[in-house]
Amino acid sequence: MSPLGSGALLRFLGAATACLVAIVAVPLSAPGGTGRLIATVLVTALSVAALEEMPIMLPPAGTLPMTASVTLTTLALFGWATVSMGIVGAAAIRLLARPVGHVASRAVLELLLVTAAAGASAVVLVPSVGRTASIVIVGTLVYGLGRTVLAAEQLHRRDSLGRVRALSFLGHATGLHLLVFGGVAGVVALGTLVFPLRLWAPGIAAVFTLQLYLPRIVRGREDEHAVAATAVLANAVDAKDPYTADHSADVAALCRRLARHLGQTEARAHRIYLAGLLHDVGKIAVPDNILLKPAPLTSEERLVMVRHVEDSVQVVQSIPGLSDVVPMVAASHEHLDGSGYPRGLRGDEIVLGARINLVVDAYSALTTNRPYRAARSPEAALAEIETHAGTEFDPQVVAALRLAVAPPAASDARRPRPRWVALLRGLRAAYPRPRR
Amino acid sequence: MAEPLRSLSVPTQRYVAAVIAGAALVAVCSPHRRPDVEVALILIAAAMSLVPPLASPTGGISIPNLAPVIVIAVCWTPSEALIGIGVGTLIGQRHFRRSERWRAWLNGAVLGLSAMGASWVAHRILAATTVSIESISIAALAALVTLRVLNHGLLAGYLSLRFQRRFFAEWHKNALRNWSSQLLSVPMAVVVYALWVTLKQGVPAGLVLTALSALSVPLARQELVYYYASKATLAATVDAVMVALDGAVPGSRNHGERVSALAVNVGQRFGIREHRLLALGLAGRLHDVGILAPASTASLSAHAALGARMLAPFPDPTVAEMVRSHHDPWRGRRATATADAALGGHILTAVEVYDSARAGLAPFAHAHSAEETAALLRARAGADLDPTVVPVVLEVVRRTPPAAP
Repeated sequence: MSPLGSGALLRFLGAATACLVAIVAVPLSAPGGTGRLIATVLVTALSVAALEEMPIMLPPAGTLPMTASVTLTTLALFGWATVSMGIVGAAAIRLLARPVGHVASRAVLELLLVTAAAGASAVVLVPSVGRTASIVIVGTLVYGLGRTVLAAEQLHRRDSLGRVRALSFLGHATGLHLLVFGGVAGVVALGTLVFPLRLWAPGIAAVFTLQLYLPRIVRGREDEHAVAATAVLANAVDAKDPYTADHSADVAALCRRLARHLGQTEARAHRIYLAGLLHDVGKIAVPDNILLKPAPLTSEERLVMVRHVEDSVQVVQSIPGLSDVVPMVAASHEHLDGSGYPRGLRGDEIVLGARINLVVDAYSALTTNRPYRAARSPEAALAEIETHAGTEFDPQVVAALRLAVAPPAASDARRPRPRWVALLRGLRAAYPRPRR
Repeated sequence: MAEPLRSLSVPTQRYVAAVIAGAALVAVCSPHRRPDVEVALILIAAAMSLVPPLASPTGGISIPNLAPVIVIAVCWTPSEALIGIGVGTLIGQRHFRRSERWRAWLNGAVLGLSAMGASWVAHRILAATTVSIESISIAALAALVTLRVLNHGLLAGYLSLRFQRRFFAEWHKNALRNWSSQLLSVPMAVVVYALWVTLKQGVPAGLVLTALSALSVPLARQELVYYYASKATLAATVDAVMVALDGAVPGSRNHGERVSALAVNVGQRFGIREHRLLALGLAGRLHDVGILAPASTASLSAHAALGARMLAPFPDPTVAEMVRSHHDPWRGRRATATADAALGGHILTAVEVYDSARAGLAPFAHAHSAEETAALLRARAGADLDPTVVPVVLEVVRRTPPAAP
């Protein structure tokens, strides 16, 4: 199997060909002339575009583009003007295959970060390492810090992750990679410094980064597929019951948010997310007439329902790589006071993932329409769940549920204006602009 | 599994002995000017052997050691590359991996000789040109090509003697395997050599850089471990869906497996690219996933649409697209290899009809014979099945008779 997607491969080959054309064109121009500048910009643009197309996967934050190694190399060797033109050129190339909004936002972000890096490295000089190395070191620090802060802000907005938590998670997840990109830029810039024809350097930086990260990119894609397959399995379960469409996906997403509110690490929260997706997977084996029965179940039918937990465990056990999810699924119907099924575990015997799952599952069931009753409002469902906190449910998890569910309801309404806007408006009202 | 040399056939034993003797002879006769470099390279290569190889699910093993070997070939002389990599691999495999003696000797000789050839080619190019980024790149590229050609040529000799495989087919297949990612093992050598030339720090700096480049082996191996684990998770998860499907409609699991295998086979004939074939295989296995929804009994197209909705989480949207369209009648648009998703959908449709007819699944009342099915498909080609796909399906089926339904 070719690990590069063919589209990516074609782009890569296209970039290589264009580099060759540029190299042929260069000797025709005088050193330092316009032709040399155009060629350098072209190589930078192609390298940036190629790397933008092959980001590393960083669940759950999304992706991290590896462009830093190219832009910092170009910045150190050719200066800010060239690298800016290169980034704009890369955006132009990517417009051939991508929508404008996506390309433009990425390009603006990259430009901002590189400009900040250029500014900082012009002001701050690291002593006794030479100018090129100094630019790379200061540039890497500023660029890395900037990207981490901005990505954390995005994560905060999208996944309602606390800002500090997002920042610390990203610091762990991206920090090392950004240092590697800086290292690549440093090695390539220093290594090509003495050669007269340095315009290859950005391309070399791009290909070198790809070499270092290819196994990781390939792995990330496969990872994504595996998680997607889990979601498909959950969809297949939900499809059996028209009342539970997207139930598993909703439960899983809420489980993850609760896990974060309860201070779990991001990796742990992801496992709890997977457990949420799979908590009812055994329902696939429950006959439709019981699953869809529009009335409370008889004791015999309840027994069949209870057995679905064992089926769930069996399914999850059959999947390698999910072994740590098995205890969460196995205990996802156990109550805190030991009144749950199938084993009647109590208190700390139930893993946290399962405790979260139980609460979220109950909340989700209460807030959706069922054959025998209508959905309740989120507030009513919360109140209902809180009456059982301490007996059925873990009170800490219930408290976290209130925290996790309440804010979106508030933020759905329009945000209050910041105070300075109100102040400005007041000023404008007090001092209306004179009409000419 | 111990395999003493004696258990091999006599020609194989002779071949192994000849390769080892050849390598030893070359090593003894070649000039040794820098024994310190040779010792350092032996240590580096032996350390690389500490990283155990990985069984790859497609067969064989994978060791991501190509990049540092090319670094050694470009940076050090042919005899140093031969001694360093050959003896280092021998020591590493014998003592760290506890391979059989003859196997460690053979692997060391083959890898050492190939690295020597690569180094010789690279140095001819570097000597003939003034050192520049271009000449280093070309030298590293030439080293890669030489290494692959020699390594797989020598191994193909062994494989063809031992397992009676065809020599040139084996050589050609292995040397070209994954060529796009093989190309990506070149830049490290370029960067390391350029940096070394720039630093002008002599032999110790070069050895440090070489040792650093060897660090890429364990890192890459770890990623490969994760990769294979994810692959296994994916396969098992899809399996779980198939088991559920089989519970709902008995026999649908085998139907899905057969459709998937046949569709991938047909797709290969059309030259569909590898990652699209993966999508086609997934779509083939999961094409009936929509029947899990109770509402899907209403109509044929309903279960296709429901299935596509369930498959939406896959990052590759063509999986869902192919499943959505797998009961759509062909509308007169010729399939081309450029429109992989559309072609995949047409293939899936035709293969689905073929297998349903053979197995007697809905909408067919009874199982058809191979001839009846072929006639049926031919009659429908150009009506509601793609006429370019049907002959290929029939051709593939004729060549590889599938297991009885």
